[in-house]
Amino acid sequence: MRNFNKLGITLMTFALSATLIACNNDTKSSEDKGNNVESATTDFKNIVNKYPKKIGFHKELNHWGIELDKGEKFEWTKDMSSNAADFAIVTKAEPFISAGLDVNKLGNGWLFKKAEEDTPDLLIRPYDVSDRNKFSSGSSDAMRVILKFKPEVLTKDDTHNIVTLGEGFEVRWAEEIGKTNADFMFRLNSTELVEAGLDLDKLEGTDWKVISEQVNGETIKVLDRMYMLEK
Amino acid sequence: METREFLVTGMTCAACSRAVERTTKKLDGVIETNVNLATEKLNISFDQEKLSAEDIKNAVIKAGYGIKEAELDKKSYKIEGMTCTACAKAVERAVKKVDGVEEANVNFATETLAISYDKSKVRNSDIKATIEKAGYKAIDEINSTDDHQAAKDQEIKRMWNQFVISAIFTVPLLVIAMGHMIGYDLPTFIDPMDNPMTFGLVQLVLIIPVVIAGRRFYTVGFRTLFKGSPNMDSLIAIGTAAAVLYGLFALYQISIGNIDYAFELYFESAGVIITLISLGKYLENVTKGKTSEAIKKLMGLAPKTATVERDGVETVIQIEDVIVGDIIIVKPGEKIPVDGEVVDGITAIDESMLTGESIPVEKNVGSKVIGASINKNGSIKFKATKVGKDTALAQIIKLVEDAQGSKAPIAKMADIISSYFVPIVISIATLSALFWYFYDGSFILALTVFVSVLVIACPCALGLATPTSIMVGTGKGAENGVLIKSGVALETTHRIQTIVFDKTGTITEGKPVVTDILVFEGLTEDVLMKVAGSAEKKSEHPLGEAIVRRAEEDGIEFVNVDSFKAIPGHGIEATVDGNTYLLGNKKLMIESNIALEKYEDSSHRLAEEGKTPMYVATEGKLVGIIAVADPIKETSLRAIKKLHEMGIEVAMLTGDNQRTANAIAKQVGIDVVLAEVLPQDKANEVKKLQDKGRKVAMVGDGINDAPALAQADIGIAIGSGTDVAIESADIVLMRSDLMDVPTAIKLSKSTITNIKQNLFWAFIYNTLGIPLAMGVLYFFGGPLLNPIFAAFAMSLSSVSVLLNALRLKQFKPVK
Repeated sequence: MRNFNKLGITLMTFALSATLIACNNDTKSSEDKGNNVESATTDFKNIVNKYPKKIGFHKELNHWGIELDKGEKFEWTKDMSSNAADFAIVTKAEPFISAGLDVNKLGNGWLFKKAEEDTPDLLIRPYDVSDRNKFSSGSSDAMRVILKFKPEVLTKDDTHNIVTLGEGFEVRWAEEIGKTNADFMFRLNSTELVEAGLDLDKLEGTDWKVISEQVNGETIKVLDRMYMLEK
Repeated sequence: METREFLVTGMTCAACSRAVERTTKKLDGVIETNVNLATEKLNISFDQEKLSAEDIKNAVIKAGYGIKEAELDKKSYKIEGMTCTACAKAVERAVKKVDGVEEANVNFATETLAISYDKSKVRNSDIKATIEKAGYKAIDEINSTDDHQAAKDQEIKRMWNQFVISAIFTVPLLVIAMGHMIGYDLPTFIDPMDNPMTFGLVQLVLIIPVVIAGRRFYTVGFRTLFKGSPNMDSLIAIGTAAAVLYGLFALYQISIGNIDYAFELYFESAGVIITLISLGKYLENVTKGKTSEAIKKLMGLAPKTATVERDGVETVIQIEDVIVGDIIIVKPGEKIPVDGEVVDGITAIDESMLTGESIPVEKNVGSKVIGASINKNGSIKFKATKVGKDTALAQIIKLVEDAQGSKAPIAKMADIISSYFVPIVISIATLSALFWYFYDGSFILALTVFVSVLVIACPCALGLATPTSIMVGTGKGAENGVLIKSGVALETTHRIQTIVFDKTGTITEGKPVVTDILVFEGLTEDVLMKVAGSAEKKSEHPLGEAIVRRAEEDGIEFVNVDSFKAIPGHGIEATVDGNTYLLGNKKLMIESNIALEKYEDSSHRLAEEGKTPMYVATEGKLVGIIAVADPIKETSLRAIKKLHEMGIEVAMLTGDNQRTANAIAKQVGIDVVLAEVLPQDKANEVKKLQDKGRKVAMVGDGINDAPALAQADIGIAIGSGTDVAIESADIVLMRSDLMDVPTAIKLSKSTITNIKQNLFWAFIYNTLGIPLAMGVLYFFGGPLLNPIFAAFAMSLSSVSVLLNALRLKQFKPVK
C-alpha cells in the first residue's frame, strides 16, 4: 500500500505536470494581442532567428546586441544585475558632431566612445531597468525577461513594438520584418544634445529626422532614425 | 526459528536497504529482518516451516536486487586416483551430498574439484574426509579466493573507470558549453553565434559516452522507480534524463531555425552531474572498505597453518584441519594457531593484539593459550581445546561483525526518513518547476529548478551517516579490548547515569587472602584452619578458596568432611571429625543464634580495615574469626575518578557486610554502597536504581552477576569473567582493567557524537540546498542554484560523512 502511495504520488505529479505543460504552448501566436510582452518577445525572436549573424554577445558587459548599421546597435542585457545599462542605444556620433555637438558638454545620461579599429565614434544612451538578478538563456529570452519584469516600458502601435527608455527615448521594432519602412527605429530626445551644441537644422540631409512630439504635455523635438535589416 | 545471513547486491542508498527490509518483513513467517547498507548484509530470522531461504531470495530478487548466501566460500582441490569421467561424477555426487556444500564441479581433465560451500556448516576437513571415503585423495589448492572481497574490489574498479570516462568527456563538454560565457573564445565552427547546430551536435557527441558510462543510474533508477521504491539513482536518472532529452529537443529547434535554443542546451549539466556523483560513489565505496578494516585486521591475525604432532610425526597442516585434541607445536616467533592448553614447555606469549596486555604473559604446563597470539621465546606444545568458529578470535570477529551489522535506533530513524524522502523530493522538484514555468514562462528556468532540486535533495549521505560511524566505532573498540555487541548498546551506553560495580573480581582482584586469624574458646589457629580449610575445600567461593590456600601454605593437613552444605549468601555448614561447624558471615551467625556481642569490637575493627570477617562456630558458640581481604585493583580508583569526571554516579554491589563494603567504598570513592545483597537479589538492586529513573549499567564477572547484567540497561562483563556473564552482557571488556569502563563510555559518546555530526552533514546540504534549488532566494532577487553546483554539493556531502566517520579512528582510550 505504501509503495502504491509513493508511486501514486510520483506518477500523478508527472501526469499533472505533463497535462499542464501540454496545455500551455511555449510559442504563442503574435495574434495574441492581449499579452504585449509575449507578442513583442515573439516578434523579437523572429528577428533573431531570421538574422542570427546580426546578433552578438558582449562578454565584458554581459550584453546581447543586434547590429543595425556599421557600428550602430541596439543592446540589451543578459542579466539586469550586471550593470546599469540594461538597454542601450548605440549610434554613430559623426552626424551630431558635424551638426555642432560638443561631446564634452554632454550630460551624464550620454556616453561618447572614440572610434576604434572597426568602429566609428559612437554615442551611447544607456537605460537601467533594475538591479535584480534574473535568469535568462538566449538573446530573445533575455529580452523577454526584461520586458516581463517591467512591462510598463512596452507599448505598441499598429505596426511596431515600442520600448520607452526614458522621456523621449524609444526603441521600436516591427511586428513583421520588411513590411514597414523601419524594421528598427531609434528615437532620441534632442534636448540634452541641443544644450550640448547640436544645431537641429544641420541634421538636414542625414539619416536623422527631426520631429515634434508631445511628451508629458510638453512639445519637444525628437530625432528619429530608421533601420532596415535587409538592405 | 532459523536465522540466516545473506549478501544483498545492487543497494545504492538507504532507500534501497529500506525497500529490502520492507519486502522481506512482508513475507509470512518472518520474525525479524535487518539490512545493513554499509556491510550489504541482510540478517533475517524466520519460521522455516512457513518460509524457506529460496522464498526470501526470490522476494529480494523480485524487488530488484541481487542476493546470495553470505558465508559461501569457494575452494579448489587436486583430486588423485580418478581414472575416468565416472570417477569424476562419483566425487561430485559424494561432495554434493555433504550438508553445506552448494556447488561441486569436477574437471576430469585438470583433475580438480571446485566447490562453493557454507563454511559455517561444513569444514574443509569434512569435505576431504568425504572424498577419501569415496576412494580418492584430495589435496588443497592454495588459491581460494574471497568471492565477496573480489566482487567489492571489482565494483570499486568499475566505479573508478566510470568516473574517469565521464570526466574525460565532460571536461571538454563543459568548456564548450560554458566557456564562451566566461570569456573563452571558441573556434568559429563551434561558436554558438556562428554555428549553433554544430555547437549543439558536438555537445551531443560528447554526452553520449558519459551517459553510457553512467548507465547504471538509469537501469537501477528507473527500475526501482517503476517498482514503486524510487531511490537515489532514480533522482539522478530523472534529472539527467530530463536534461539530455531537453537538449535533444533544443537541437531539433536549432535545426528548424530557432537559433536561440543554442543557449538552452543542457548536456553539460547532465555530464557534470553524472561525473561528480560517480566520483562521490567511488569515494563512498573506497571509504566503506576502510571502515570495515577492523574485521579484516582481526581476520588477518590468525595464521594459515599449524604444526601438529600425530603419532610422533610433525606435520604442517591447514588451520582448518586442526581438530580438538591435536597436539600443536609452536616455536619462538610463531603464532598460536588455535585456543588450547599447554602440555609441554615454558614460554612467554604476546597477547596484546587480542587483550591489549602489552607485557607478554608467562605460560607453562596447564596455562591457557589463545589463537593468534604470538609465542615469544620458548618452544611449547599445547593441546587444542577450541578450533574453528569456537576460538576466542572467531568469537570476537563474530561479535564485531554482528555489532557492525546491527542497527542502532538512530539508524532506523534515518532509514525511515530516507525511504520517504525520495518520492517527496520528486514531488517538490516537479511542483517547483511547474510554479516557475507558469510564473516566469521560461521552460529552461523550470528545467533548471527541476534538475537542481532532484540533485541537491538526494539523500545519498543520509543512509551512510550511521552505519559508517558504527563500523568504525565498534572496530575501534575491538582494537582497544572493548567489544560492543550491538548498535543499540553503542547508542545506549553514552546515556548511562549510574554504574554498578560488583565488588569481588571487579573492583577487587578477586583473589582474597587471609589476613587475620582470631581464635576463641580455647581453640588454636592450626585447629581452626584445619577445620575451616577442610570444610571450604568443597566450596567454590573466593573467600573459601582463600582459606584453603592459606591452610595449604601453612602446611596444614586436611581431614575428611562427613557432610557439606553451601548456604548461598550466608556461608557453609560442614561436619568435620564428627563435629558440625558453621562458617560464614554475620547473617549466618545471627540466624543460627550464635552470640557475637563479645567479639563485636574485633569484627568491627576488621571490617573497618576493609577486611571480611568469616565467623566459625560450633555447638552454638563462636570459636574463631578468619579475616579475608581482597586487594583492590590498581586501576579501580582511577577508573572511578574518571567516571565521576564524566558525571556518572558509581555504586558498588556486594554480598559483603556493610562495614567492610563501606571501607572499600571509601578507599575507591564509591557513591552508593549496596551491601549484604544476596545473589538472587542483585538484579533487584539494579532494578531499584532503574525505578528511580536512572539509566543503569552493571559491571561484573561472576556467574552470580548474569541476572543483574541482563537487568541493567547496559551489562558490562569483565573479560576475565565467565561465559555466562559474557553471554548476558552488552559490552565485553577483554582485559580485567576497570579503565576500560570509562573507555567504553567515552567510545559510545564519541560514536554517537560522530553519528550526529554525520547526520548534520548529510542533512545540511539538503536543508540549505532545497530552498535554494527551488528558487526561493531567486524569487526575492537572490541567486539560483545551478545543477552543476548542486551535483558538486551532493558529492561533497557523501565525502564529508565518510571522512567524518573515519575521524573516529583517532579515538584514544581513557588513560
